[in-house]
Amino acid sequence: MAPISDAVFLRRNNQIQDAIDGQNLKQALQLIEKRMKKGEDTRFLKAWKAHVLWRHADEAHHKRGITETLELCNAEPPTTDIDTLDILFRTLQKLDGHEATRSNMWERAAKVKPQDLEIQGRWFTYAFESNDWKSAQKAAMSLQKNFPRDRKYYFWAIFLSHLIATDERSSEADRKLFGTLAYRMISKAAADVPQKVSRTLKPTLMAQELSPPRAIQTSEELRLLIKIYETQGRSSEVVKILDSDNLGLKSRIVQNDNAFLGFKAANLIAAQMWEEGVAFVKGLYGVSDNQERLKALREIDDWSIWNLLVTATKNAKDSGIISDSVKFAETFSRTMPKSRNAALARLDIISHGIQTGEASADSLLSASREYIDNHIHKLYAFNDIRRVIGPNKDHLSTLLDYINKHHAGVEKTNVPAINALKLEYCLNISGSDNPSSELMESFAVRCLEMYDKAFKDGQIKKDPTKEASSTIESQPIDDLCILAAMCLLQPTEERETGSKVSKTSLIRAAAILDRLCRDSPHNYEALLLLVRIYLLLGAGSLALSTFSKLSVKQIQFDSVAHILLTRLSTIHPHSAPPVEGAEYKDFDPLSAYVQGLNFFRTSEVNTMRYRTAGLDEGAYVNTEEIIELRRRLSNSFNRRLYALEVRRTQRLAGGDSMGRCDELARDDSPFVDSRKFGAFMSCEFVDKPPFEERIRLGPLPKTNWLASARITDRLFSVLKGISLQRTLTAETELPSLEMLSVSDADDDQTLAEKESCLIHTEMLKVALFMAGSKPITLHQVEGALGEAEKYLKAKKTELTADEKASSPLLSSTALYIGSETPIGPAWDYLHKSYTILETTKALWQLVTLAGKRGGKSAKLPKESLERVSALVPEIYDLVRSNARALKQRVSASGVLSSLIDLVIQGDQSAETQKSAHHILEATLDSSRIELFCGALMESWEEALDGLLLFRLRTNARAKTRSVRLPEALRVFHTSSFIPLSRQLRQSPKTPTVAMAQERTGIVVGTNKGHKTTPLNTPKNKISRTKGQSSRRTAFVREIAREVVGLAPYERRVIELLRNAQDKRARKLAKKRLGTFTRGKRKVEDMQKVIAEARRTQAH
Amino acid sequence: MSTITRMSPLDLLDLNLTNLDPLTENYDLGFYLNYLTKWPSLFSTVKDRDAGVVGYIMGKVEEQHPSMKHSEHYTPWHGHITVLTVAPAWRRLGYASRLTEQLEQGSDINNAWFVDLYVRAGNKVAVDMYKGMGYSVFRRVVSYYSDDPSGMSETGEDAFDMRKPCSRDKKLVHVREKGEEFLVHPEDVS
Repeated sequence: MAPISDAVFLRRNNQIQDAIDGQNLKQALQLIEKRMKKGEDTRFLKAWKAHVLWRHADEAHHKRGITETLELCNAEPPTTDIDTLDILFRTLQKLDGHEATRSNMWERAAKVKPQDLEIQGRWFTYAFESNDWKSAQKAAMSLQKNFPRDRKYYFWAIFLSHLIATDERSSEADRKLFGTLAYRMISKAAADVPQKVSRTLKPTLMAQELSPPRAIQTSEELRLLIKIYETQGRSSEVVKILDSDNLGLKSRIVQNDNAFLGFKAANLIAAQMWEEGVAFVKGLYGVSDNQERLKALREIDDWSIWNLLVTATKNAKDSGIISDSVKFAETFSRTMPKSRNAALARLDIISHGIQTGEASADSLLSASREYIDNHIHKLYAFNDIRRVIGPNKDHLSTLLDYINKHHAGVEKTNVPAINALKLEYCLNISGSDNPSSELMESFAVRCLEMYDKAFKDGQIKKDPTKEASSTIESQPIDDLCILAAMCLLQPTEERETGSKVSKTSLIRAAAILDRLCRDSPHNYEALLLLVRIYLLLGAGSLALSTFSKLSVKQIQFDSVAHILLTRLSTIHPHSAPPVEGAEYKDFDPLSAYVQGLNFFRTSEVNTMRYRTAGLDEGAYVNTEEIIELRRRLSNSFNRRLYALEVRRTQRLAGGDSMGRCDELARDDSPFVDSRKFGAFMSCEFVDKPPFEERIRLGPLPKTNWLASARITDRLFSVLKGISLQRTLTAETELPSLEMLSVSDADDDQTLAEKESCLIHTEMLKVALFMAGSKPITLHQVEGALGEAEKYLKAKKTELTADEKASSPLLSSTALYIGSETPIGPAWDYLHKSYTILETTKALWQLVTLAGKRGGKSAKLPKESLERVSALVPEIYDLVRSNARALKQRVSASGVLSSLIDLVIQGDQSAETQKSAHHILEATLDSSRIELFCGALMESWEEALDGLLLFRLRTNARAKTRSVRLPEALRVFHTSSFIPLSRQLRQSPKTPTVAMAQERTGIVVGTNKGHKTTPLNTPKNKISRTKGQSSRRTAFVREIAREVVGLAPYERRVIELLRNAQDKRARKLAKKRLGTFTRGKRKVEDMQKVIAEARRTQAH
Repeated sequence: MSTITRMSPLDLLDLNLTNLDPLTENYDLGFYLNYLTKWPSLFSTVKDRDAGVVGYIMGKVEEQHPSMKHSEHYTPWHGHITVLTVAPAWRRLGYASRLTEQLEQGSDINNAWFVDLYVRAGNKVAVDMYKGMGYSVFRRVVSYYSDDPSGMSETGEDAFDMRKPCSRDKKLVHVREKGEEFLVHPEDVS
């Protein structure tokens, strides 16, 4: 901008920018046109004008903006001014279908000004950030061509080519082309690495001095090479490179990083080079008597290498290789008995040998015995034995006998005995088809006995002077309690419920785990199990408070939180009573969902930021994975689930409308499921599903669940749209009917959900008809209303109470102990009730809307409408009366004692030994059982109260979500429920009184308490450091400066300085700041700012 | 059945066994990504074939801000262990020392003076473990941790700054005897 000085130009621009920021587009346009009239007819202004036009809401201006922008993009000669390009890009960024123009614009600019780093740098950044790999690759190519000295651009180009080659979106031809390009370029970089270098220099210095700029210099670049080769199936070439002098395992680039040994092993497997593989392992792991060598061996003892031996042995055709490899592993593990990898490799190879007939079962057993001798005192031993011996029950029981005879009880630690019990559980209880309940009972009792004994021993042994820190760590003996609980939850022949877990044994298991949590409050395996059990029991508030002990946050919202949050909206949608000192998400499901969604949103920002940073730092392989991580997180299944559940929660319990989840809730693109359940303990038999599946709340939600939840969500949003008289635009608001069809591919919904999905689909048709959708006929609507009526009638029979005041719903879902009357809800009772309530709510809204509407759109058939509208309140009342009846049962007398009896004696129907009662009572501590049962009942009451709070009409959150005080307070756990209203909770803690009055020596009244002499503490020293800026304040100021920029007077000072009016600047600063010294200091500061700005611009 | 490899960003989705432990902090996603991009070679994990990630170490090499250069507590170019954690069921197997050795080797290559770490003064198990690996207490940072899990004090817990010299520090300048009694304040070390 030659004619005008910089400062003036900037000031004028600021005016326009201010107008745009203030949404005053008209003024902005006028300002621009004024400048253009004055002769400042630059492309920059034209582009800006087009941008402002594009921002207009009305169609005509908007379109004109686009056309003008496109014209400017294609203008000759190409635009090269960075600001202009920026504006043009910003306009085009949000428009679909202009990707080509977008990248073309930058490309042409870069061609005209090949030495302008800024243009090309920005081109690259923009393209990379908008996932346009092709354009970014072009930018990187142009960068590496024009700035050959900067070596990172070369690798950027390679990296981007690799991205295109592996991207699913690129065409077949592109993949091939760019794959070859990446391969050629990186191979060139590898070939350029000098062969021989002296080893006297420090490696880092040497790298910079000796090799050509584009050769591979860091291990990151070598990793990129391996990655590229691997994805293209060139594993044998990787092996060759890792064997070479210049880049091989001994080269200075690898720097003795043992990870590259793993790379070599993996690629030997991929290239199917079995002979070389075996030779490699043998060369690496050959044992000798040398102590030094043994120590070095211990450091490189790694499964990735042993895996190579195992795989190679399995695939190699040579005869005798099996016995050879077994011998090799045997020698290794004899020399180093602690090496688990070697022992496992040996077992793996022997079991393969048994399959091919080259090894005998006896050799497997003897090897297993050796393994047991060396490893049974470690917790991992159980999993290893189960994996290797696997489905062979005879072998398992032989080994179990062996352990019991030689290890359990003999050694100092309890671990061998624990492993033995786990094996026994796996073999006799999980592995058996129908274990008797006596067997299970006695097993559980044995576990608890041993736990009790070990616990008491531990207490005696423990030095009282030692810290309590060991309680933070979970102990191996904790596993015993979990084992006992899992054993009780197994199916037996008597409880012929099939896959369902008996509800009474849930209570007993919970009691055992609750006891464990007293001694080991942080054992997460126990806590997770307990959360699920509480949920299954319908005790939502207990589940929430137990879950809060895990203090789940950040990425755990994707990996852990779903254990609690799946289907929570139909079990405990309302807030539990607040817990003192807890965060909202610890007792309020709604805020837990919101926090989870927030994590996903911020993770988008973070991953974007660090994938750009990763390229800058040269961490290529990690950058590629960050891109993948970003994709997985933004398409995460949990994210969709939370978005749908948060809206359901808000429908069922009231609360702020979650408008910002709209898009997420509607998204039906494929998702990524990263739910994992590895944190649950599982000791099941090999062919049985993991234990966690037994304690799920209905089948695990998947595609169908999402689809059906989307239908429900759509129904409510259409209804809302009608009530707000919003006109529905055809594309966005009318879902195609294909979307509605739910395939039966996988069974991932509960019965109640399936039912409600069907009825909601019908109702959605009606709602769309009301909204004016053409393809739906009156006939269809009639049918849909008929379906609704049928549904309601069915529900009516299900909910109506018989003479014993128990409805079919209650008797099928609620919790019974022996007697005829239910004593508590369970999760499926709550789930069904809430699902029915949601449907009635939708129907009620629909009926009211149909009643209200004037002649605007097609009328609904009157008779069926009336019938439905009569049924809806009836159902609503029935659900409530059911809940009320159940609540009465919970608070009836005798429930507490029958619960306690249940925990100690088990189900009355089953006969159990008297001795068992004794040990249960002793281990579990009867007062604790009482507290536990009390808390459970209280939680049930709270859950039912929550159900009763539901209203058909939408009402404000304040009413439904007000916190009620539980009638009786029971101290439970360390975190007792203390009823505090929210206002009280938020008020700050009582401030400590600075000057305490002298105490009176009387036990009551003001200033009560024992008389004490105040300590004669000296006054605090005067702070000498005031005014010295610490790093912290410097940092704070830096951030503030970065965010809000300069103050207006500072900008004026800068302007004056730019115009060489230093004295004036100082005068102004003095006027503003008070003294001349301060003013001078400020002027100096501003000079620094100017210098800084120059420096960054120059780059 | 265990293998030690580098942490990859996708492993972040699989940290349950270690991160559900109460003493292992769950950081913001960006924090992990920062380490993964800046010091990828100092972030390694132990993986079990079945269970996945059962332990990891997170480290960096850096020096204190130049503005602190004249302070007597200035910390020069050094390796730092930010996080070291092993899942409860996988402890006492020597994974921690193998991970630490990796990081020490990495710091040595990067020409660091020493490797240091902060540990809660009350976490006796950890302090003893580090001492066994050759670390010694250099100084005690008063009230470094804002909370105190044992509930002993209101003001927070002290930290030990423990160090192990690298091969560059031939004269052992950066080690101190009886460092437990050498008190510094958190602002001196940040």
